Amino acid sequence: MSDAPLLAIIIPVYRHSVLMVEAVDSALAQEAPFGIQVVIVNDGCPHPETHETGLALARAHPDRVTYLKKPNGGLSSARNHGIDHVLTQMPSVRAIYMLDADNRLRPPAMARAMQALTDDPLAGWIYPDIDMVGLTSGHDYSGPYSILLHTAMNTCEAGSLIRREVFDAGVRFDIAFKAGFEDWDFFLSAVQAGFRGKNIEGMGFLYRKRPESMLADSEREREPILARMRAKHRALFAPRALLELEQEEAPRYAFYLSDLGRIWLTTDPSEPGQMLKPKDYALRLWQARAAPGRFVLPPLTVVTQSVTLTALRRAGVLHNMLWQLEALLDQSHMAALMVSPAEGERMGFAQLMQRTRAPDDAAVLMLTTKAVTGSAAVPIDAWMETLTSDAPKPHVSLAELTLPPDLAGVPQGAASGLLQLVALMRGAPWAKAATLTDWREADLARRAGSHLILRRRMGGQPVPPMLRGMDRHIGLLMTIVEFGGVEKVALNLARSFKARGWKVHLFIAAHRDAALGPDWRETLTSVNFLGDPEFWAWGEGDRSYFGNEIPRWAVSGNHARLIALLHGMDVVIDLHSGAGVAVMSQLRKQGVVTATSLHLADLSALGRPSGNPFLGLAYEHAFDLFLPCSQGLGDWLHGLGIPEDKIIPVINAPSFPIAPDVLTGLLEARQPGPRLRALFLGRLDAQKGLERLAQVIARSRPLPIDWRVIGKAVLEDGSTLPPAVAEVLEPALTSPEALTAAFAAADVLVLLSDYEGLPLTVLEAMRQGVVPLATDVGAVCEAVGPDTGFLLPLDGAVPACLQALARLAADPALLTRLSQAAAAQARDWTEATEDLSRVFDALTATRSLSTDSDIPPPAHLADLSPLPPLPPLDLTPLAWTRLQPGTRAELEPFVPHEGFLQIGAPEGSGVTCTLETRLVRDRFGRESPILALRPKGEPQPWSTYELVLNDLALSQLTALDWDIRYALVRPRHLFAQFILNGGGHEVTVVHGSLLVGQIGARTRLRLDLARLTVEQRRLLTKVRLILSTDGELLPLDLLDLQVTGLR
Amino acid sequence: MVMSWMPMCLVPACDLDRAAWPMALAVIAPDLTVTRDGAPVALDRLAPQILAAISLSDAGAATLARLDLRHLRATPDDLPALWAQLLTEELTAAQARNVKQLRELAQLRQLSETSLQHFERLEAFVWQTTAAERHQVTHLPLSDAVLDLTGVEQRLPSDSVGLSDLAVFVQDAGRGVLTATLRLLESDQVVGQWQVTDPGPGWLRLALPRALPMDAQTAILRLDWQGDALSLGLSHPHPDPRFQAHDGRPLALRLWKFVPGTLAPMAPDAHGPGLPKWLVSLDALREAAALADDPERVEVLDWAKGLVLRPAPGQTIAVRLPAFARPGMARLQGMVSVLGADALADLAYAVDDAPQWQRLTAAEPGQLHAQFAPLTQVQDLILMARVPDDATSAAVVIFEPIEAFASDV
Repeated sequence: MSDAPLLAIIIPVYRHSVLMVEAVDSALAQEAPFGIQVVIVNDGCPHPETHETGLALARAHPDRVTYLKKPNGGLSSARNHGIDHVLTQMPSVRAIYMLDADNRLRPPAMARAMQALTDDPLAGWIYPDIDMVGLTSGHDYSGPYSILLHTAMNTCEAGSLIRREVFDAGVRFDIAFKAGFEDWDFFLSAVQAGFRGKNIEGMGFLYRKRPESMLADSEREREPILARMRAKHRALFAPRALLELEQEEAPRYAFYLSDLGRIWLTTDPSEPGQMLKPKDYALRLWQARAAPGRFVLPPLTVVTQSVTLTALRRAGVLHNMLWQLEALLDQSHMAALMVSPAEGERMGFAQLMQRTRAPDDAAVLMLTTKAVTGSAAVPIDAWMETLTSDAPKPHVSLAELTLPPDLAGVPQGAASGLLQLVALMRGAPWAKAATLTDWREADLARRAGSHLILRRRMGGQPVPPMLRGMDRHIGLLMTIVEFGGVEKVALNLARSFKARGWKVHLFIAAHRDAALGPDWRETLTSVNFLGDPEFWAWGEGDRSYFGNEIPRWAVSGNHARLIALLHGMDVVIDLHSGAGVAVMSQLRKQGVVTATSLHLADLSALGRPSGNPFLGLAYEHAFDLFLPCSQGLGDWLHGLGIPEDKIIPVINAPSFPIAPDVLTGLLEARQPGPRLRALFLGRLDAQKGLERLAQVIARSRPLPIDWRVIGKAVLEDGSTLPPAVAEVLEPALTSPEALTAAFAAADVLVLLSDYEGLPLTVLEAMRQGVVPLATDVGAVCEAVGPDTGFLLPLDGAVPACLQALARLAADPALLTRLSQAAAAQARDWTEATEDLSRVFDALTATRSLSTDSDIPPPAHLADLSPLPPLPPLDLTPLAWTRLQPGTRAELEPFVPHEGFLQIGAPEGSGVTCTLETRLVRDRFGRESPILALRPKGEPQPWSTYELVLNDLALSQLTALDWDIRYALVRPRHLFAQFILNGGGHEVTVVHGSLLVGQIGARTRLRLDLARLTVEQRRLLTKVRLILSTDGELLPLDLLDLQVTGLR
Repeated sequence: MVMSWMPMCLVPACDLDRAAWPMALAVIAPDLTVTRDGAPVALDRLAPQILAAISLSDAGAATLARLDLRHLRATPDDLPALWAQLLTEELTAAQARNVKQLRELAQLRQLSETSLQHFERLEAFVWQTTAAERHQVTHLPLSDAVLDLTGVEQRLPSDSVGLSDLAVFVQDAGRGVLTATLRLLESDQVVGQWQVTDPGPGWLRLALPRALPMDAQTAILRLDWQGDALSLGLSHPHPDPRFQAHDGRPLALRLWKFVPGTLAPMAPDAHGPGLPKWLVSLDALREAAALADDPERVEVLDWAKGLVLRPAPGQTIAVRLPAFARPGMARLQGMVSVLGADALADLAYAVDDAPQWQRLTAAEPGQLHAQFAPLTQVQDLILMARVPDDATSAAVVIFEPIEAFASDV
């Protein structure tokens, strides 16, 4: 045995002047094949005896005991004092154990812990089971280490053996935590530095438990301490990060796919998860029943068939339905989803308030896994068996999803599937013996309710099981989806952002069903119903903001539910959702970019302007951006107090596209005829000035005019259409083709509305050369001018309109001139959303890719687009390593030219690197090779590492995915950018801060080549991925590096 | 190599050559680094050994002034006197501390001796006056699977507190030696070891003389077999690998506990160190009743807390407890009673030779004794009851748990 100690035991002492002898004695009595140095730290203990005893122990064992004395600073300060002493004075020490002065160790404890640390290079620290003396009890902390669980409870005792590298990474006990839980905070800091814990059973740690202890104090002050900890470890406690952890460590759902006879474990059904045979799942189920703290089992079971999941996924409602069922399950034993065909292209969701359907009619059934296990644990469960009878005893909450007929054909029989699953579990060989349990209490039994950890962070609400991945997500919040103008704007926003690579999600807050045809479904990633029967966009409010009603739901509704639904978005655009504005402030605090898309103010019955623009003023603080549909509305918003920087006009454009060649043909075919063809097209309600229209139609009869009125009457006050209008009324048109034909068959569009925003009908008509005759309301004047049509004064609109019709009927040349000028004003949505897209890019790059808006991005990456290119770096290659081609199914594996990857550090950075390969074992015992890039040298303000791919034919690719998985140490802050060189050109593509993607030791970086022009892609042949840290030397243990190209 | 405490003096490097120093030195440089015998050493670590800090120059004094060593500062002239003073003070303080701790130790020793005496009396009282029974706490039932034993480890599904006995099931006996070792995981201590030669079929009970103490730990049983083939019964499959001894199953297993840290009478069928007292427990009587082929007349009733026999007039009923009479056993005693109007019966414990009948009537519940020459080999114990031919009614006879004693008790 070498004299140089391999392990140090730090014993801080304060007021334990006598008991400390037991702690020191137990440390000296360790039976270990290596040297152990005991470091006593007298933390300014007021008892002189502590000093005398410490001195005596050090003098009695001068080669094994170090005695340090310092002014009182608290437990953390004392531990840190000892740690710093060991780090500076004992270079041979590889690990440090923290032993409190009133606790003890059994003789084999340190040898065991050190062996465990040696055996597992992935373990940053070894934590024990806790055997309490005094108030005796045993506590089991076995099973895989879970970061998710660690965010909810203090799973690692301070009495842990901690690898020296953890301290080398700068992790220390926070001296601000004086009331306890400093060990919890310490290990979370270690997690954020990239380290993970590992439990060993029966290590031999004895904790002196008194009726009152410091821990009891900290339990009393739990909430304030937790709040402090959450603030300190924001990235770890962010809901998005917790969801990633849930997927990785404790999947929420066990899907029993009865048609495949398999059980699929996942939180997000878009992720691969893990597919198990019933026998393998049964083993896990009975293991979790025998030792709930040790084994992981999804807390919720979903019984369905694979074809049902496919149908729900195609409809974009799978995540939302799981979320709805989870909420329903809180009120009952089970939650069942029926799937029915809708009438036409519609989708809807509603809870069935009465037992109108049998559970076995359900296509999806959700219940707790505990209920499944409980039923399988008895030979016959008569209660459960009634599920398929006429009088089921379990209380089942029923809900119905209606889908377009081509998606609704899914099999029923979920209840029968459940009984089948229970029988499979019951028949497993372990069912008889699983009541035998270990003698220690399962302190980590909270594993069985791991999904509740995230729920608590979201106000108790279920959290949609949708991971963000590395994509950008935009949510459109609406109350209703029919065929109105706001819906058309929403659809076009969705299309334009989808075209820019965003995932677009629709959230319907109020209505239970929606008109969602193929045009919507092809555009959306998901469709989500809020399902809150209390939600009403407007009404019942008893408060007002400068006379504008604040809806009741905005004041006292279930905001947490809507926040839970929306929190995973990078951007949420509120499209006249009314009361939905109430959650925007909270979303913004969680890092979501919030915007409100505004179109027009309504008029009250007495003509007072009101509605969403006014509500937006009331909630100005909650929105990052205001998106008026016209310049005029933008000016109005500014005039009423919205800062100019927040106003990004998204000027309306025609709601449906026409192919350029078709449009050219239509315009060329347009010729004035002997009679003027006049058209009204739109929703027939009071706002549209129907009385004025009727007068114009009636009084224009002497003129050579043919009238068409196309639309649907939606008169709410019981009034009827004026006869002159009703006589020429034709049914509403919804398809782009029919609308195009209607405009092609018209010379003029007549729109005599009381109020408007910037009507899409006018823009669509003008695009096809139809001359608009419209009242001068809202922002109509921004589209219609004297060169393109007739802007009619609201007062006197009828005679003005008649006069204009008469002129046009009599002057074909005027009609042609105005028609051509109108057509020349065509605009499109890509152009309309260009500014908004740029602002979203900037805001989300600094906010949503990191996990908290309060964490500022590093200065040199703050302005992400555009960024001046970094000066070229002269690389000194250190080694060459063969790159393994990727194997992911959805992307075509990309084999780089010559198959080599160059890894290096920039010359002159003051950092040298060594590169080695070695085998590591993961927590499942699987071995895999890693590349270990070990930097040495002084930390720089920015330490940068480069991974270079040479000689690429980028023109063949649209994207490159880089998957990087770290073995042990992950930098706390990692930033990435791609630089592409070639042909004398250099293009920088900055991906941004990557904190979210870091959770779980895997990072995916996507280089989106589609952003480059074809010419650039042809010239550029070298891709450099530059990883930067904020001064931290980055030990880049690459477990896996795959580069995959998308053609 | 174990170092001993070496008192020393801290001197600034600039003063090192100016005097002959009378004691071991640690040298401190202007940058406050410290060396001893030329090797660098942390001042923190050296602090317990330093008794004095001495400077001979202003520069040296300035160096020392940067440390909080006022209580150690001295001049060379002071040194002999200081040295003597320090040693005297240290010696005086150490002696005072020593005396104080010896006094405290004496108090603790007296308390410990008194506690031990009281505990010994209490234990003897329990030993002599009550039929203190080791309680079965765990029973992993037998399945149809067996293990052909060479060596196996079984983690016990219970903590070690009060553990007193354990039993495994020998399915097919062979000739050879079974070695059983009971180890505690956390302390890595062996707390029990047994060697059983030619174990017979059935439950093989292994007993500790004294139940394990209050220190809760995880107990692990290791079994090794040397000899002809021996198979052990396995229990049902268990999902937790920690409890799987073989093929996903734990051993069929029974565990007993008693008051932690105390002696308890052993079961006669248990293997273990010799104790002068045994107890035939209610469970043992129940197992014996189960072997009898007349459940109408032989059964254990919980309300009666004993074995119930129902002999008819002229009938004798005997219940065999196989191998329950152990070498060294010389006396048996237990409560018996006869129930029934006008009932009477003759009762006996039979070991080795002819039974010593003792008549009992319904009105006279009492103790049944049997005394015999100390046994030298294992035998069966037989409980017998008969009702005379001329008795007017049948009797219900109850044998309660039986205490057995060695000759010298």
